[in-house]
Parts: sequence; C-alpha cells; structure tokens
Amino acid sequence: MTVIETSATTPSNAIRTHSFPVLEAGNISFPHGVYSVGFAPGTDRHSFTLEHRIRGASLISRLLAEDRARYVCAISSPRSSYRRTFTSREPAQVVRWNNDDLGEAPQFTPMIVSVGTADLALDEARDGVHESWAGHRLRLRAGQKLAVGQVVYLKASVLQMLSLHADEALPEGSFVVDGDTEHGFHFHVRVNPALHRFLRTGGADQSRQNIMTHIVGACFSLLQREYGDDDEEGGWPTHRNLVALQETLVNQGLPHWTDESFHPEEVATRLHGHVWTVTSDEEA
Amino acid sequence: MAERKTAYRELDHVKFAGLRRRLLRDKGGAYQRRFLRAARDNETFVGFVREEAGAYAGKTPPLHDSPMTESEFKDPPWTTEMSLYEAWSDLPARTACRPAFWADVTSRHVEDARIDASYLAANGGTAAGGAQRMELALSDDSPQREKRIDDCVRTILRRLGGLPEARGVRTVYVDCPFARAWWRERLVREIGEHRGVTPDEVRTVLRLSQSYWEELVTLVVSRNSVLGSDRVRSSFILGLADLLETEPESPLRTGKELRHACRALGAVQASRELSVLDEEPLQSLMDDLVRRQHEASLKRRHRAAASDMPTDSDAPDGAEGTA
Repeated sequence: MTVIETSATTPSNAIRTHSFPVLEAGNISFPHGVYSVGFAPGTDRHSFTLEHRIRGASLISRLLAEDRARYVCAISSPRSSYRRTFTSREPAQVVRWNNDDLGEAPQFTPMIVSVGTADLALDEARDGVHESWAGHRLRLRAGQKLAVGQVVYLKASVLQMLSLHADEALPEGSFVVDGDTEHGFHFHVRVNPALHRFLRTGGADQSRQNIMTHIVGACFSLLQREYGDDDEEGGWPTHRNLVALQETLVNQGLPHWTDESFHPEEVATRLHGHVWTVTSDEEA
Repeated sequence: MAERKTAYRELDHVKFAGLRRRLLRDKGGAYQRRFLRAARDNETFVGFVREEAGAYAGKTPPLHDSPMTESEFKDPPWTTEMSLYEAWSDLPARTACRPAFWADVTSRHVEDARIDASYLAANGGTAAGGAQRMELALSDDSPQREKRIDDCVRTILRRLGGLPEARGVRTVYVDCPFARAWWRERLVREIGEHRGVTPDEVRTVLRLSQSYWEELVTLVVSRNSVLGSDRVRSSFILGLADLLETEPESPLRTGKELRHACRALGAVQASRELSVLDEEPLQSLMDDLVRRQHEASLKRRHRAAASDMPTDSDAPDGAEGTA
C-alpha cells in the first residue's frame, strides 16, 4: 500500500483562505496535523482500497468519532466528464468504478468532510487548531471540507505515461516517439522488435535503464516540440496527467517544457540518471 | 483494417494524431492543399483518411437514417440530436470522448453519402458553405492564402472528430457535430434522471448558443472539481433553467456571465464538497447561487450602462459554429 501524507508543510503552490480550518498542503490551520492516505489497487483493475488516517487534528478526529464527518474519495476523469464521490464512516474504504465511464486513468482525491450542521467554538489546545483560530465560533455546514489529501494520478510519472510497441518497419536498435492524446496524454513509443524484446525482458540491466532514459529524453523533446510555445487555451493543460507531470517536475525543482531553461536531456537524466558499473581496472 | 480489436470501430488513434499534427505543421503547404482537394470529393476524402489513419475493427454504430443537409449537419436541430443519441445510446462515455471514434463515424457518414465531405469545411453563421469556402481558399492568391487554407483544414479536422492538439479535451464535445449531439442529449437525459423536469426545459439552456454550450462544456471538463459531478452540474443547470424561464432576459444567458456564476460556484466548492449533499439542500443552494449571480450580473450591467461602458455580458455571444 502506498501512503501519501498531507500536512501544512507539504509543498503547495496554492494560496487558500477558508472560513473554516482545513488540514491541507500549505494551510497552517492545523499546525501539527497530518492526514495520511494509503492506497492499494484492487486486483480487478477497477477498484482501490484506501486507508485514511488523521493525526494531530483533534477537531477532525472528534467530528469523525461523533459521526459528524465522513471519509470521502472523489474519483474523476475530466475527459469523459466523470466525477463521483464515495463516502465512508470507516477509515478503510473501497472505491469502485466502471471502466466504461472513464476516458483516461482515474484520479483520486481523498478528503474528510462534515455531514450535517453544527455550531462550534474552537479551542487551540482541545482542537489542535492554529492560535489564529482560537476562540472563533463557527458554523459547520454539510459538505465542509475538513481535510484534503493529495490528488493521486495513476499515471503521473513519465515512465507510466509511455507504452512500448514493437514495429517491424524500424531498423535494429531504433525507436520513434509519438504523442497520443486519445485516452489522456501518453507517449506511444515504436521500437524495433529485437530492442522491444530486450526492453520488455531486460529487467534491471543497466543498458535497459539507460535506453529507457534515452526514450524519456525523447518524450520530453516531443513535449517541448509540440507544446513548448503552446499558449492556446485548451492545449496541453487540458490533459490532466500532463499537468500532473508538470507538477511533479516543479515539485522536484526541475523546469518543464514551456520554460526557457528546459533541456529535455537534462530533465530526463536528472529523473533517471545513467547508470554504469566501474570496473576495478578503471577504479585504479 | 488493422488487427487490433477495439470495442467500437475507430481510426488508428496514433496514426490519426500523426495526421492531425502533420496537417497542423504544414500551414498552407502542399499537404494541407492535398487534404483540402481530397475533401472536395467523398470517395477521395474517405480514401485519404483511411490511408493516412487506418482503422481498428470493432462494432459500428448505425448511421443517421437519411442524408443530411449541410445546415442540418453543422447545427442539427434538437430532434436530429435526439434521434442520433437514441441510435447511439449504448455507447460508453469512454468511447464517446475519443476523436478517433467520432472521426470514423463521420467518415462512414461521408462514405455512405449521408453527408458530403465538403460539409466538414462549413463554418458558422451566414458564412459561405463548405464547398465554397474550400474553393475560395484553394484559388486564393492573396497574402491571406496560407491562413485561409489552414483555417479550412482546422475546421475539417474539428468537424471530423475534434482537434485536441489545439482545442484540448473539450473539442469532442464542442466541435464535432455528431459527438456534440451525443454529449448534449446525454446531458439532457442525465439531468432528467435526477429531477422531474421536462427535457425541453433543459435543452433550452444547453442550446442557447454554440458558445454557451462551449462555455458549459469547458467548465465541465476543465474544472472537473466544480462541475464534474453529475449531481452538481445537474443542479446547477436546473437552477439556470428555472431562472431563464422566469427571467428570460437575464444576463446569465451569455457565456461570459455564466463563467462568473461558475467562478462563484467554484469558490463554494473550494471549501465544500457539494456532491455529498442531499438532493434538496443541493438544489436549494444552487438556486440561491444562480439567483444571486443573476442579480450581480444585473448590477454589473446597470453600472456599465451608467458609465456608458460595454460589459462582458454585452459582448456578442451567440455566433454559431466559429469553432
């Protein structure tokens, strides 16, 4: 199970103001709060198990214990205008979807929301809220977001966004990268059949890793070529996994394809650096 | 026909994306001109598309039962949209959001002479028909020639199945008439399922103008966290339908004022997950939000009138089919 934690110090570009304390990235309302969500894909390929856990945010824990809040997961696929929320009283939650509804790999947004209405007076020590909230009297409304986790994209890394396809027309040792926008954005990599076999079965072989780095560099070149000066509304930002990839690069302090400082080979090798073994002769 | 089997027959999406990209790169060049010349004849056009983009085998949805006029294809009346949707109601959303699928459906309509390939080049309003537009572009020797050819090619690609490279995800919903018919009518029925309203009330909102539909769709697909939930968008559209019934001249009839309303909805959704609300409180919240936005729009209009300045809502908003 993969666990993703969200706290006030989680990197975020967002600047938010709410009329209620929310535990989310970049929001200091719960200074010691941590919202962690474990994800495990189901074996049926259309379900996910989530395990929500909240720490250091007693207000939220109390509302959950008093049955005034629920664990929620929203599954969405903007491409097919799909978004559905699933609620649970228990921290362990299974969400299912119908693949026919989705136009791309789904994205998941875990959160904790209130149900019903209540008037609350906040106390710093009792509720775990920031001192700026102390003494505030607030009205809790149904649907109020209390904690919001990181959006999980099933395919947000560049390696998950590419697929290899054997192409007999290509000479030995060669490959070609095309962009495919049909089902969310992904890289369609045509590879000579012998090379394709090696890449599929090469395991942790260093050559395989280095060739994949080369392919990743070619993928980034394609993004720069196709979208580098794309400012047309509705262009690449409408592909959510490209937005997620961009966010991944930004979070790692790397430029992305519309930045002038973007060098595809540099970003590829920073993400997946070349590997080699130094022989004892070379060491000497 | 390629060996790969898909549930529904469609063009080879990688080759089709390659075709679109090659055409987009060749502004006014020989490849674009060849494509336009092909579109003057149904058989040549289908041959061109099949040769360049191939097709995967799969189920084929039925064709529209009779030949369509250019105007009926470009901007189908609601009765046509309804009958198209009914014929294709089994389509899953995952298929209906694919340009390669709709491009194949449109090509089959050309192949079977239910539409002419030249219809694909037809632009909106009172502009020239598709055939005339292509002839003008191909015979033009002015400095605008390259742009005219490029505009025509883009229009054809949009009508064929959508042009995601330039228009993003919304292109299928907005630019391809067959796909637009399916998605719009699907939304009509989705809303009807949630509430006891007549389909006509919903269609009134969804068919106000091409730009209004585009605005709504853009909000649904690009602001999925706001209008992605079928429950939330149904309530929002119902709120609009109610308002426009009682206030037919409301500024919320314009796409730009609609965007203001959606921004307000986005502000609410930022702190509340509205999709978990029960039906009644959700509808009441939405009616209230729409009503307040209507009043805010009126105030903006009055303020602008007082200072004699044009407002967003005064801008022309109903131009059809300029996509």
